[in-house]
Amino acid sequence: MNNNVLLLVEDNSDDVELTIYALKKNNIMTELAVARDGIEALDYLFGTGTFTGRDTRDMPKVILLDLKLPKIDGLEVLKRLRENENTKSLPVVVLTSSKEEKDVIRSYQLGANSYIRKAVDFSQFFDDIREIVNYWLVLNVADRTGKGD
Amino acid sequence: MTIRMKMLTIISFAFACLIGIALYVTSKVAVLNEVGQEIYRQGYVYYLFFILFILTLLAALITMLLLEKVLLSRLDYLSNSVSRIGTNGDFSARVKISGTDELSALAQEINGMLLALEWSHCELVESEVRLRRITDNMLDMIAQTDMEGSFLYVSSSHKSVLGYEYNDMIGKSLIDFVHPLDQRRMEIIFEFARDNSSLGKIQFRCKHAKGHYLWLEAAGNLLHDDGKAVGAIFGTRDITDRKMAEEHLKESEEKYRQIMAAIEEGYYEVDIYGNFTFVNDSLCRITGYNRRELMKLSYDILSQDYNEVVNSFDSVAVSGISEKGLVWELVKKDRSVSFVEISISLIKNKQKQQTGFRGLVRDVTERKIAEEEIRKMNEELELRVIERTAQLEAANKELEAFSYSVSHDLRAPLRSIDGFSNALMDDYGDKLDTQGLDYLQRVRAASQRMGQLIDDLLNLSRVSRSDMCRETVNLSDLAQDIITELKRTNSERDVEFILNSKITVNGDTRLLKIMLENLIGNAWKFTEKNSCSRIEFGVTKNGSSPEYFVQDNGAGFQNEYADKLFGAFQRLHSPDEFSGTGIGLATVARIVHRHGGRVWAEGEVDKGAVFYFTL
Repeated sequence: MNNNVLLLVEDNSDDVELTIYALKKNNIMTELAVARDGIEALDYLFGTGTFTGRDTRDMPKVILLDLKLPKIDGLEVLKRLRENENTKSLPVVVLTSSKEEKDVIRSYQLGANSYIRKAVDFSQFFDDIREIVNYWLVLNVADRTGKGD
Repeated sequence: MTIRMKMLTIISFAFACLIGIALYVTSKVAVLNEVGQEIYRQGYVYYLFFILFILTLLAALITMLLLEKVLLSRLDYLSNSVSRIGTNGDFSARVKISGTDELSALAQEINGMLLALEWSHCELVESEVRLRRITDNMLDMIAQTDMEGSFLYVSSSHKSVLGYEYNDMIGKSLIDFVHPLDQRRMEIIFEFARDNSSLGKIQFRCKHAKGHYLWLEAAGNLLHDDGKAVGAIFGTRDITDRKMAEEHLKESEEKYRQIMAAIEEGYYEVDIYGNFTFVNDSLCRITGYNRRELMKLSYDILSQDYNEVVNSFDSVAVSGISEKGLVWELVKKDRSVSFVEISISLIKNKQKQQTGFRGLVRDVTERKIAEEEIRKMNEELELRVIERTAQLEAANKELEAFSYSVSHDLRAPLRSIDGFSNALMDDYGDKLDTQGLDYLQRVRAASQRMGQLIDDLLNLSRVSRSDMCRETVNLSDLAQDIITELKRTNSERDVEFILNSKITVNGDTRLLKIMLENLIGNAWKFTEKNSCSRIEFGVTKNGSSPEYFVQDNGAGFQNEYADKLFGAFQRLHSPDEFSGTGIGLATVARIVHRHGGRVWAEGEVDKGAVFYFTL
């Protein structure tokens, strides 16, 4: 069981690359799982589709979720996670370019743990990634079952 | 004893005396003739005759005295008494004659007559007093004139009506009191009256003592004496009020006639059976029938729906409540159909009995057509509005999708550009010279600026699109929060912030916050080159409406550009001088306008700027 998996749900390869770059530059040693769309993210978490057979007890410590995704968007992914007994208390950090108020509101309503806007300025983005990882992987005490009570 | 017997007695006595004396004298003369006829004959006869003469004279004298005593003096008295009574008119006096002869009977007859006269005189006086009282108390005036028209008598009502004293009128000519315009007419009437005993009734204006004229009506008769006209007597009455009323009536009738002729609407009156009793010209025009034809028709020509007409008129008759605004289809004489708007009200007489109906008929055909057109146009318009609304909604959705897309998709590549430029500088910086590094730095700066531009544009569009939610907003608190945040993120700067009054307004908190962020942010930005910066947020009163302001002592601007400040992308400074996208003040202007307010600015280069707004 790997307790330091970070699931990045992101369709933009540049952003994936920059996230990896930021983690590396920050000397953060964590396993990064990447889902390129909503379906892939759900398959990964529920052990379905291409991830059939994956041990679903092995849950990421935090999910970085983009909202604008192909097939199923981030909000729908979040909604389904919260509807599922196994994933309903998984920490989800919405990390998106949008700062539309309705996105923020909807995200929290659906049970996001945090909402962070991706900065255009890479220096800022770099700092943000470090903070997120520090907080959610190091500081935060997670519900290990991922199921809540 | 009667007068005749008395006279016979007196005359017989006188003759007897005369005959006795004559016989005595004759006998004496015969004796003497026998005795001394010769001696005394001549002188003695003469003496005898003389004595006879004296005796006869005496007898006549006594007879006269008797006559005087018995007849003449009493006759004189009688005559004097009668003539005295005749002169002084004292019918209460009586003739006094004693005895029982014809004279005393005559006196008694005269006394009887006097009594009768006295009675009738008393009656006359009484009747005259009564008459005078009547004439004096009459409201109408009684006057008597001679044939020249001069007043001989005027009743006291002349004073109350015309204001003249009795003496002002007596002796004056009636014509002098008549209005100059009526004088000629009066004269003609008088001329005519000379040949006819009655003056008939005449109306004329008469001058009041105060100078104004009254309308009088007079009726008169000529007075005759011995078949000759000697004057006239008039009864006159003040008819000014009546005349005025007549005048008013005439005027109001004329007005009514003119209104009837002038109004566009048809006017009708019908009896309780619905037969027309009065129509005006307009109704003729509207119906196409002439007046004579209409007067033979009834109200059912007003609509081609007979029941509609009868029911409406019946309902007015039963309820007593007028109807108006009934729109009926009227078939004109030429069989063409007009739309008419009808009103119906009841006509009642003084006894409150219904005698018919009256009302107006307006030709509304054109209006009907216009209304129909308007209705069609409205329908079309509504359809078009629905269509346009749908289009607008679609456009709005598109715009929203676009904004969303901009927010997400335009920013992502910028982050890549910036991120990888950064990676290049970090990881491959040693392989580039200073210029290469500078270029990369410029790429990064440009991408960051574009990111800011996108954010500002999104803000601007959001400000215009979002729903307003009005509530009480504490602007002072908002301003304080903004300044605190600015001070926190720019701790190196020392800025004096002045906030004097507590300012609360009614508006949308979120929008007002964006507005203040922009205004205070600008003030913060444009004072960054000052050694001591000062920013003030406050309010001034202009009349009853408050004007809010944000003032700084920063770079300011040339006042002639004050209008340009609020346009999107308008900048008065280069990005090298002061950063910014030129969208902030456009956003401020939109927010203020959405609150129904005004925004304007005053500035002076290097002295600072003041931004005013109202809400």
